[in-house]
Amino acid sequence: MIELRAATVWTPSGQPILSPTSERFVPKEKIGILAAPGSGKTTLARIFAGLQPPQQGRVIRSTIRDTILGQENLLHPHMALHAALTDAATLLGLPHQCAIERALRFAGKGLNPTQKVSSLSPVQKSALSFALSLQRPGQWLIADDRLVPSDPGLAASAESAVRLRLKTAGLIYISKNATQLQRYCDRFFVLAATNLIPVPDLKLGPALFRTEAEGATHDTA
Amino acid sequence: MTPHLDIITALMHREIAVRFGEERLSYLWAFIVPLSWIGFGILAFAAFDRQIPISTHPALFLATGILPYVIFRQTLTYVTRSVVAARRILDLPNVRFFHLIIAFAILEALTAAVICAIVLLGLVWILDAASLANLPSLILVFCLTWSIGVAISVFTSRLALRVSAVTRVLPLLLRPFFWISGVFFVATEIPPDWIWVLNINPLFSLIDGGREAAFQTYNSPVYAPSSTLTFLFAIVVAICVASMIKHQSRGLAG
Repeated sequence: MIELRAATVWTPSGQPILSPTSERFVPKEKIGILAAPGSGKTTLARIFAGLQPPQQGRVIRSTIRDTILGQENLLHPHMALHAALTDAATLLGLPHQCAIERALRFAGKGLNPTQKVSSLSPVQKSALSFALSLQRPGQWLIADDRLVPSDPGLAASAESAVRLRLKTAGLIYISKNATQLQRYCDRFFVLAATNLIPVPDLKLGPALFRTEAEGATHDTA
Repeated sequence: MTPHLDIITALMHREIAVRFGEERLSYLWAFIVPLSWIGFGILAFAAFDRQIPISTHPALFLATGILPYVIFRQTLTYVTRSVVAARRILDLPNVRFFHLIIAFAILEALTAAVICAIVLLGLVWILDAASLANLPSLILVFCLTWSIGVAISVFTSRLALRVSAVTRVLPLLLRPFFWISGVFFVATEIPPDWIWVLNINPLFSLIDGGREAAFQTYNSPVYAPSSTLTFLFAIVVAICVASMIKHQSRGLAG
């Protein structure tokens, strides 16, 4: 369970992201939050994952912290791939052998465990990080802007892995892409003018963004 | 405790990869700093005709002052800098702030042990000096200066995670301590009325204690291993570690 109690969030520079909001997300719910670019998606994802508290109010969680999917720099560039995967699995609390085998299988053939992480392509590194973070047990998956790697070669297997994981976990997916949100989520919100507005579907989302932009233009005028 | 040990070991692997990977020269720098300071001190002593207050070679006198100071300084600055560099690792659900502190502090202790062993034993061997008077006491002094460095780094690292300028300001703030911590003098050379002022700085009594441990002919008027400030710092470290472990034990399984 993740519950916001009058949670208020703003950036370090004082720009508001979320006005006082109270909302409750129950286990296994698939929450999609449509948010415009620059509206504070990453900060919100960190709040939902328990990585930072809101500036005011509270976020009550049944677990201390959750994983944000596909975090970068999970694998240290100066380490050999196998050593880097072992350490990353340890830091995520995963059983080494199983986690490494799954990650290597997901990222594709041709990976040599003795090669340096810095010699991998960005797609390979992203796929390995995604595969590792997806394996972490937990009640929630938190996704910031992208749920599955964008590489076409990995999209199908990534989607099936995510679907499998979502059978036992809830999802909070914050994105500007309404189509992607509708693909994975069944309860929707729009982050507009720092308000988290519940909506039955995302058809109204762009209209709410427009209202916000018009409001901003009006304020400037 | 096993998950904690595994996490700390993994963090140490990563840090070693950083030091031996992109910053290999910085590891060598750890040896160059104390040796160059000792060389600079010998030249300065000769230039100003400074008579050292203990009957020994100037290099050995300087080494017993510079090494504990270097341990303190390197521990404080490297742990703070490493925590800031690894701050994104704190986003991983199982990793806590105290894991980073312990991992980097242990690495610094190992580095310090190697530096002290090579520099001190090297000087004793090269100068054909009498062996150090009380090696266990000298090691205790080194351990206490390391623990003060770790204790302060808990606060500076926390602060540096919020204010990035801390890592740049810290070396400047530490600079005066090089001159007032007894690296170039001993407590018996200070007028008795002024000793208490220098003694506010726990490094001063520790470095003087190091001289007492190294040289049979010197008795420090200020050093006591359980002196109040040293003790206070140890308590601060214990409280910090205990509170962080308590907090961690609630969330590790998550």
